[in-house]
Amino acid sequence: MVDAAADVTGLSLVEVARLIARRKLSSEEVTRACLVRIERYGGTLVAIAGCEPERALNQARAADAAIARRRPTGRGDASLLGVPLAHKDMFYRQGRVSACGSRIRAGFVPDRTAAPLERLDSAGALDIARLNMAEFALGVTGHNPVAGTPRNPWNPDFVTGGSSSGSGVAVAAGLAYGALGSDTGGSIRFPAACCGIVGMKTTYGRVSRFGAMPLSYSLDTIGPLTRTVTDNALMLSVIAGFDARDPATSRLEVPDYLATIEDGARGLRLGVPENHFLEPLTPEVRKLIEAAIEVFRRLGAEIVAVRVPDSIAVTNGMTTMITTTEGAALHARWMRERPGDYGRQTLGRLVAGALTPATTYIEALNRRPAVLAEFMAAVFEDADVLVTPVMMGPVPTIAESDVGANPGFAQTIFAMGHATRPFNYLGLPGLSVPMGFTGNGLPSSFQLVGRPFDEATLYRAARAYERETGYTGKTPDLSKLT
Amino acid sequence: MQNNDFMATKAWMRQFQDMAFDVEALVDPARAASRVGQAMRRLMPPLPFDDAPGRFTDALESFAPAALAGDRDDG
Repeated sequence: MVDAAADVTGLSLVEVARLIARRKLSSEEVTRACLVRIERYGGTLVAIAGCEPERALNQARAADAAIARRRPTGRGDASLLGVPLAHKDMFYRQGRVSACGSRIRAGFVPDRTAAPLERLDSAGALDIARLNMAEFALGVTGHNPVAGTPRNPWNPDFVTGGSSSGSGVAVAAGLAYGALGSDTGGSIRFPAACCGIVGMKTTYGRVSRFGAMPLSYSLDTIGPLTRTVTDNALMLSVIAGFDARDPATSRLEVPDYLATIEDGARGLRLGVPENHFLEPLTPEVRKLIEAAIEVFRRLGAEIVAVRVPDSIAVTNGMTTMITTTEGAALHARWMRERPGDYGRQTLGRLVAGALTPATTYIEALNRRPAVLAEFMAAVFEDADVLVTPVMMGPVPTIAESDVGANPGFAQTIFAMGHATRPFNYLGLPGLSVPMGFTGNGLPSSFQLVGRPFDEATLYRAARAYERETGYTGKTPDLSKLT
Repeated sequence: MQNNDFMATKAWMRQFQDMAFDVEALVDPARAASRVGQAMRRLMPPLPFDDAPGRFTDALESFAPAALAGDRDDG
């Protein structure tokens, strides 16, 4: 049977925005199509934390009315007017529950709206659902014993990646055209990679965290998950920029990401690491990433071997330590008063943070500018973009990576962040881009890393690769789920 | 020795963090943080004593293409 709802939900965000703006599609029919898929697949995929269909449809009708009056509220070419999005359940909206994947905040009603939601609202986007997530954004596999473990739309036996697990699932499965996630150690890039979509971990300070649940103020970043590179650039162009309410945000001007996105890879210097990031890599992921590098070579990029500083080896551990220490400080009251309301893995990681020597934590933070300077000199004097894997092996099954009750869970979590956490410590942007499928039928992705605030070059390179290979925009067959 | 580690960790959590958790589960995480500290000091030069670390966003901005080109918006 042909899935009628999939016809519209299979469009990209850019395509659907254009068709709505030209009144070839109404926001209401597009939103209805998404709601049908949420109803049909959202429960099986454990992707939805909350959805109010009537509220979503009212938003859609208001958008259609604005277009009919020829008074769209969007921002010129970047307009998202009438486009249904859904977001990780940690982006607060005033007066609406935001449970953060937890029991502790199950009834939490925030008094503010998150800055990225405000910006998406002003561009006319719809917010049709709250998406499931790892408990308090602490978890790389997507397991959540409290709110439920989301299932991968490519094969429900496999993990979605975390912590923005529902965001990865919802976008890949066509429940929404784009989603916000947060990334403190890989939490956008893992679900993007596991679900075969595009995920941007932005430069630290590029997107305001005001009104987003904090985990680690020193490391938290916010970014979009979408089905295509151009969709991602469009969403980031809306949410990026200075915000006085988040003192870490930069005043640097936000470039027009779409202006250079079709410029191709010719002339770009693609850095391929000689050490650390390609070890230990499973043979089939190595084969995929080598093939991706060959695509870039064919597209005219200059392939440059780079040696990353030896200090990179400890940045995974430093990121983990900073995250758990700052997390423990934020959660200390609940750890004292309600320890039984946490999942075991979350509590275990927070407890580890409560044991960090303060001097070690401060030393790790104080070293950041020097470690960044060393890395920039070693890598970005000879390269414009660095390529690494996102995950060092294929996507694991939910059963084999269910580490919540396993005494060795900390080591598993640590190993998974080998290629992602260093860039949270360094504050650099990292874009997860699908590069094909491994033998288990699950997607696999590489990561493009750039200079600070140079997301535009990452989009340019990724778009050239996407145009050549067509690995993005693929949708999983969900017919076996029902 | 092992017993001393347990007791010290338990004392730290109870007396200094006002938290009560299973003691045996705490010793490995405590050692993990120390191992990160040891590796950090082994792989990196000592921090300068007299220089304040500064705001990290400023450090990032100093390497941004736009900042290097002098294209700055202070609005």
